[in-house]
Amino acid sequence: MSVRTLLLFIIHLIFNILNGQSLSVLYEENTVEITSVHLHPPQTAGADYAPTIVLSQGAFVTVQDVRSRTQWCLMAYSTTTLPGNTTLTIFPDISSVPAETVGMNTPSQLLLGAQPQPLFSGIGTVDQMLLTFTLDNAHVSQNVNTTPVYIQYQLQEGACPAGP
Amino acid sequence: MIHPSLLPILAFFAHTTALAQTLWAEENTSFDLYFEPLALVAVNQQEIQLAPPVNENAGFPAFTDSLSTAFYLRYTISPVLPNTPLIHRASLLDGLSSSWNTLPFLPASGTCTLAPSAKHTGTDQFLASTIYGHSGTALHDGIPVVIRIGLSDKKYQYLAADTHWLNLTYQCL
Repeated sequence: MSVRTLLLFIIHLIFNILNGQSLSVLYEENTVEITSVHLHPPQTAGADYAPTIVLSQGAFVTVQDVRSRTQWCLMAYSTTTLPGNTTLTIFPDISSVPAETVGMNTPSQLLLGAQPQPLFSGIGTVDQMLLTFTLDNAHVSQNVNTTPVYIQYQLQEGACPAGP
Repeated sequence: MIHPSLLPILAFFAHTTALAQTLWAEENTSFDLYFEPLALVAVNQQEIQLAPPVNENAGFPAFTDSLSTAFYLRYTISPVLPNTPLIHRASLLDGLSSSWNTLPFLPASGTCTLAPSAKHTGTDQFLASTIYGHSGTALHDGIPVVIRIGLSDKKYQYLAADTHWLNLTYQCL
């Protein structure tokens, strides 16, 4: 390897480092209300919450400053522990973005856990991809008052790994 | 050939590049899940046995136009906003009618007025009243409730052994 080649390689590396990719996740609502309409059946005395509640919450993901054809993986995890066996699931709406921006191994849903897991596999810039959410296994006797939900999103280089 | 003095520099960039390829950006987000207060009163699907017990095979008791039962409804109540409607629901069999006779009661954490006495017929009917001033979780000895059940003559004749149970549910919504 000549010195000239080495210098070009280093310049290439520096360019990659300084090329700051940006990630933005914006929620539609700051607070999501779970009410008696979410009982199963709704508004019924003695009923518990439906096993799966589709939240009136959406999030828009924007990834910028990524060169075209560059693959990346959006990961997500949560530091929130919901009461009992209650869980939160995220659904990436791949129809909300152009098909050519959807990469390999995009999962259909992500059950939020404490460790980063693949949520969406993208290619190049993506503008306002929609995420939807469901709440599962909530119970009237366990889920009360206000629970903050903290979700961390990570943008990683390369396509998402194949799922199980 | 790479000059030996360049190797540390190359190693540094290789290391930092590897990190950059792993994680480009991170976003910490949050939103609130707000669960509107729903107070559970008593237990769901409480079964009330009528007295005297009905035994159609023995023909006892002799048919009258009504049977009745009185019981104390034990309950646990969770936090609820003032003036929350209290919903009563009774799942009754076809051909049965019933009436409620309830008394106001005083839980440890405030005053609660149960539904006034009322009559309803048919199935899955709702009675609503207002519950006042609850806060915290309180245990109570129970709500005095009297239910009178009316049966038609035909229904009584064909009453199955397990039909003298009623499913009652109570909940504040």
